[in-house]
Amino acid sequence: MISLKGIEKVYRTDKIETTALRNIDLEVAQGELVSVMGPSGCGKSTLLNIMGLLDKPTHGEVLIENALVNNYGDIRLAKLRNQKIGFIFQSFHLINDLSVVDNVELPLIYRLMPNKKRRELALAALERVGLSTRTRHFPNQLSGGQRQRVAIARAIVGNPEIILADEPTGNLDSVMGNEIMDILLMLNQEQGTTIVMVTHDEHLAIKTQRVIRLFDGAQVS
Amino acid sequence: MNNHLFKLIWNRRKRNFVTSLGIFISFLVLFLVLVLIVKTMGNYVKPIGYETDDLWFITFDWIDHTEDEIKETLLLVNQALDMEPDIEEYAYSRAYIYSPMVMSATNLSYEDAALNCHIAWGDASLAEVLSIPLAQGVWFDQQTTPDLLEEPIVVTQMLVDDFFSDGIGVGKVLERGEDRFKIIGVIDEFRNGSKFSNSRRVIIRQMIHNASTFTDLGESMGLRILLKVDGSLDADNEMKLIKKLKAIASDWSFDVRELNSIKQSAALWTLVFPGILTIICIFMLVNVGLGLFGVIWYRTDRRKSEIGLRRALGAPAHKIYRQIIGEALVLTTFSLLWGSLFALQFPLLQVIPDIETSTYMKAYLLAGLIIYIITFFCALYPSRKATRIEPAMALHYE
Repeated sequence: MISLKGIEKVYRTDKIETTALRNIDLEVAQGELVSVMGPSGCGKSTLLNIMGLLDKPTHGEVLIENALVNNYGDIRLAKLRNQKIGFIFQSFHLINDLSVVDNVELPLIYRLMPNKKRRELALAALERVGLSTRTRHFPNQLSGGQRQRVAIARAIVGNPEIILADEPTGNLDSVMGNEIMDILLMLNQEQGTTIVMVTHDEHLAIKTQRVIRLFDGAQVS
Repeated sequence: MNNHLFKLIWNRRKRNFVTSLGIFISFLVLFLVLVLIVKTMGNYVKPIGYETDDLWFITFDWIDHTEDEIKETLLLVNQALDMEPDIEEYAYSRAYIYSPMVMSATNLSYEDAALNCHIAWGDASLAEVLSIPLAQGVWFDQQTTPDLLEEPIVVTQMLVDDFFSDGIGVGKVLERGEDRFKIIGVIDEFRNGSKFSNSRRVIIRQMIHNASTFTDLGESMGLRILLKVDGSLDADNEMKLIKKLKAIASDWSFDVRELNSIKQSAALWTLVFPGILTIICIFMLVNVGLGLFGVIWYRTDRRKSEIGLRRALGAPAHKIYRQIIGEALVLTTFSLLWGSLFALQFPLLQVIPDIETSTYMKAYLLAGLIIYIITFFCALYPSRKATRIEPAMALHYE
């Protein structure tokens, strides 16, 4: 599903050169639930950004469904992100000026789709995460767990094959964290969605099928 | 996407209030200034009501002369003008053509209606000298002694339209206290100020300069003799003519000039007020534009995280570009909708007299277009900057 070959990412400024990732070779199969662990600053988020086509590697190849995407232009990459990948972030990244259902609809406004269909899909996604009674609320009227569920609904509304979650439980207490993890497990098991999740929490990581460990930009297991 | 933009701007209406108010006020001010400009420019393309090619005029002044002396001198002036081979026709007038002075005005009534009308004076030759076409009736006749009880007047079509629902002026009698004025002729227009002046309700009263009634000319102020020349009157002839006139009355002052020579200054004079307003309006628009540019730039900069999110969710750079411009245009649309509610009151309530609905509509469309163009250009640079935001970096902004 996702294949990274010889990935290296170097951030350069005028004076400093920082290597965030070095020589990463990684395969994530379709339907796999993988967690990425490592200390802060080891390159977990950078790895996720490269997998999610939000960033380009300095060296190496990125393949999505066996297609090399390194040289894709902005429009093709955006289309891939929109149709194949769903993102979940630690800080939710909801737009406070939009209602819950409008936030969930967001990925679909970049697709050619009638408004009615878009609304139906958004409501269905909210139903799946158990938030069908909060559709007209605004993000600041919700708890942290509810906000993350909205973010999950937004990630799954376009029915992507891959979900990339960057510390999705990082801002939540353990109860809410477990609720979110249960939803991700349900998506993986029932829908066969490929999930790559960055986490610091060993208790969550052991629920995944594979743990990739990074240290100082390199893959150690 | 359009729905999304409208929803976003509507939900952010409190934050956008001041910006929206700025656009709203700019639109209304621009609309009113454009009403004046459209009206003035509309005047320019309309017939002025007379022709001034090959026309010269004499102004003169006398000091401490009796009525008999003035009458005698003017008769000699007439004789001198009759002798000039280059002068085809001449006419006495007090009509302030191409003059910054305004015609005197008075209230005239017809049945229950009373309207303010401007008064000009002209003799029987004025229509021919100025090539004034008659729409109805006749011009004054030098040979006929006017009826003293119902003074004959020629009026403009605007006066007829405003007073008489049947559109016929000839034969109707207007009143001013004891005075009665009978309309004998109707002319299309008589816009004395310049091509940019507004149409007015004008009555032209007859100046009679035969031997017995020459003193009706009154004082010298505003009095002119208009000369229709055959085109060959030049500076030398002008000097010769002044010399001849000075020979008749050495203590009078005479000035001879081509009428078209004061046409430009008259036009400039008419444009002073709209010009000042236009300059103030441009200054205001530049300020609003700079303000809008700053606000859009600042807000875009503060929305890096949101823009990063949109990029992550599948928005290509060009859609971010369109979104920032689109939001600015939608905000403008909301402001213009409010502005329209106020602007449309002007034609409905006829707030400014003598402005046609079509003038308001043109000004309304132009004002809207200009505001949209300003907003568009103000949003261009910030939206371009937004497209350069790296999503991976932007998602770390909180």
